[in-house]
Amino acid sequence: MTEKLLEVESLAIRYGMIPAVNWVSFSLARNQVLGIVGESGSGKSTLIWALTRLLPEAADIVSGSVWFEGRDLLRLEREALRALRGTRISYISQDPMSALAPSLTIGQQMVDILYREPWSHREKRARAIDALDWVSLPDPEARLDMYPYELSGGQRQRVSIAMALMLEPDLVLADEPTTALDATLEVEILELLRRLQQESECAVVFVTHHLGVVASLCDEVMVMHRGDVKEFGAVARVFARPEDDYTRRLLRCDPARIAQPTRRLPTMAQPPDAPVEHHAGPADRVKADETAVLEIRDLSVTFRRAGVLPSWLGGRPRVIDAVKQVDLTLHRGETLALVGESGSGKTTIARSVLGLVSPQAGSITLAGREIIGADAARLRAARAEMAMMFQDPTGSLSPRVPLGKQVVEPLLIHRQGGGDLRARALELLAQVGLGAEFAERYPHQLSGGQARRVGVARALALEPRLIVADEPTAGLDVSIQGDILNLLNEIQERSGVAILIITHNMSVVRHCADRMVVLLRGEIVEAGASADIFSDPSHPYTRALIEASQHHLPEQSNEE
Amino acid sequence: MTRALALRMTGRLPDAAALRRLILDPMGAVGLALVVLLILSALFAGLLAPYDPTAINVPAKLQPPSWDHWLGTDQLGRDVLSRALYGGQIALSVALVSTGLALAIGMFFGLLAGFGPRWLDNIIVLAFDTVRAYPVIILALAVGPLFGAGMTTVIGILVATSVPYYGRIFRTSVIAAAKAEYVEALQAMGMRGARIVVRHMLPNIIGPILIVASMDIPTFIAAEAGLSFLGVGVKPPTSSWGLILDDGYKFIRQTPWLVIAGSVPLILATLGFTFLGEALRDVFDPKLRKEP
Repeated sequence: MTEKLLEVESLAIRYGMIPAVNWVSFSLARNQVLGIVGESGSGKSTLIWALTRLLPEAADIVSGSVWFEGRDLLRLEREALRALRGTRISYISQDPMSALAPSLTIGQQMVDILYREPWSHREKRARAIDALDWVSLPDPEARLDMYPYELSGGQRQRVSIAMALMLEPDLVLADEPTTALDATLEVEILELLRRLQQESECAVVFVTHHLGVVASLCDEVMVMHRGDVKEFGAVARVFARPEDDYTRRLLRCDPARIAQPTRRLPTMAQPPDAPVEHHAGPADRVKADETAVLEIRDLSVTFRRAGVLPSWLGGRPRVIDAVKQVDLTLHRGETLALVGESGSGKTTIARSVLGLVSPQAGSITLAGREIIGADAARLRAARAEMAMMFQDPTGSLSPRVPLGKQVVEPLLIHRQGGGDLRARALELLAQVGLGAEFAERYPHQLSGGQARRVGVARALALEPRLIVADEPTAGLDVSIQGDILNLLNEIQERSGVAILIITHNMSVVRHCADRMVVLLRGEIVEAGASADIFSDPSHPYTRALIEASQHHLPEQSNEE
Repeated sequence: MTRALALRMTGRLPDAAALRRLILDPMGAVGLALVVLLILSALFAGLLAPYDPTAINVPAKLQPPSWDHWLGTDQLGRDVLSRALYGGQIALSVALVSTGLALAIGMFFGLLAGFGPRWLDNIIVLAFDTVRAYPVIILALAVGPLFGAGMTTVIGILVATSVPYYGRIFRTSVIAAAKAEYVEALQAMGMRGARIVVRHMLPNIIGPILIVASMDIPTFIAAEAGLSFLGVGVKPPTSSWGLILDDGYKFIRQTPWLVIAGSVPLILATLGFTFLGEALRDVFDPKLRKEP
């Protein structure tokens, strides 16, 4: 099987004057899986779009050709290219919600793809059912008449995979197909893709910023950085003996690949061969100070959704138990991780702590003061002692206010604005490693990592007792995750702030959390020191989560 | 990546680059030139007009254009160019004052509906819909004589009929903006609601609404002329494009020049504001822009 299915020759693409892909050449044989990894802005998405000429209008192809079965896709006539798309080459997009048309049923959309085929409607429907069955979607016949919003994220991604593979293409292009999914779902989808790939013997080009995905799924890997191919080769070889400096730094940075927990994660700036520092933090800090910063007792939160019928017609509101009788204690200087999938109630707990939702029962005390049922003045006082880092770092910054003003906003709110506010703003920005020039910038001018740092600076303004960090590494490249986690750890060691991390990223938990609490459908299923739980998980769900995170680890890690 | 791109392009205040894009767009350049011309001629009508727009000189009535009267004279011998220039003053002030008032009042009720309790929201939206159900012209013909024709009545009618429109936009925008994560972040920091609205939400929603409003200015200019034409607007001897048109129709058998003098500035003004508004929208709406 040495026949080349796809051959890319010196492909170069620019956006106006900005180069996106620089003279990239590679080839792919049938039945091979190629992973393209790189940070955001590395040109990996542009490259995969170019393979079916689905480039944004602003992109210019400077040079190169994409040979597929002896034809150059970049110079093919529109109609001929259209005939290839979907049948021979198909595409799985990142966001399963926006990939499906919201006002058509799954079945209508799936049957529609088969418009070229001479079959009757009944036959096409049967094909669609087969395809859904193939991607292990339970009860495919009933799902066919559902709308996309009636399916969960994982189910939607299964549907879009089924649609991509329905006509048995030779080449499948997948653009970060698991990025929007939870850890355990991610593993399910990856396993599904692997099985489908083996059964259909198609070639796959897989774009991702997740190194573990590449390790577990791909035969070959291409590492991209700022439009250049840094390394290209068999996965086993690249992961074991990376030749390029950038690849070595990148592999060294991935928290999932560092076996022993550490609070000083390696960063991209360090030399690629420096040993990983195993800094455990002050070991006895929790025992030294037994003051509970946050105590949650018997917390229950239920949401009521209005029923389909109004109440006078007998409609009954749907009651959802988001959180059921949760107990938590968080001490000074300690990091506690709330772990679980989306919908497990972890964000609801955090929002209750901040007084953004009103729980039905239980008590939450911050430094001895009750938050549930507190009046406006008391709630304000409590909010001065805690800070939240929201999941979307850019979205949680006010779009039209310069950053220098935003980081000191908490001081103004709580009337602690005495003294030189501008000096204080610069000091806060400096604490998170941002220069004075950032004071004049606006959120839209920041990268994800920089916006995250501004969020940390704003959280530090009031020197809170508690920081609630909702998915602090979400949407960040592997190369920056370590920087942000190190920053949080250093701040904690300096100030003794208690940190509540909400995450589904198990390697974050392993490296940063002293203790962890595992939530499943609003209930705690396991709680304890994270080191103990990682070495001996008792609940099957915890075991699944940990296995899902280690699933990506290459068999042998060369870190030591 | 596309998301970051979109973020970078929205949330931007007018700057030199935006202005340059506006002028480079042929539609924007033409619109801007027409609007600037209109504003200048209205501002300096007193200096530019060769005659008093109300000075009657019956012997010289209904003259064609000449060196003395560039646009000729009307049935009372008044200089049409002077009347057109002063008519521009009226058109522009009616349009700007109505838009400003409608925006301000619409914002007040829109915010009240968006943030107020459910019952208040329902009442305000019902009121909006009731007013909007009346066609502008019918309402003007019914209400106009009641208050007497004049500029105030015109402004009153235009404001009353467009408040519900802006009010609804404000209401929807604040309801959408209230769900943004930064609003929740500010709440979590303990900021008071009023401060969040004024300092953080309004600057974000006002931009698109101002662009909508700038595209409504030509409608208001046309509405003023129309109402004056129908006799519920500006009263003679004050000058208005609508009145010049009205005179022009009465004497169309004698001379076509009055109709031309009344309609050409009206057409140019509406075109100018429409072009400018659309170009502004293109400059600020990232989805319609093609460059990265």
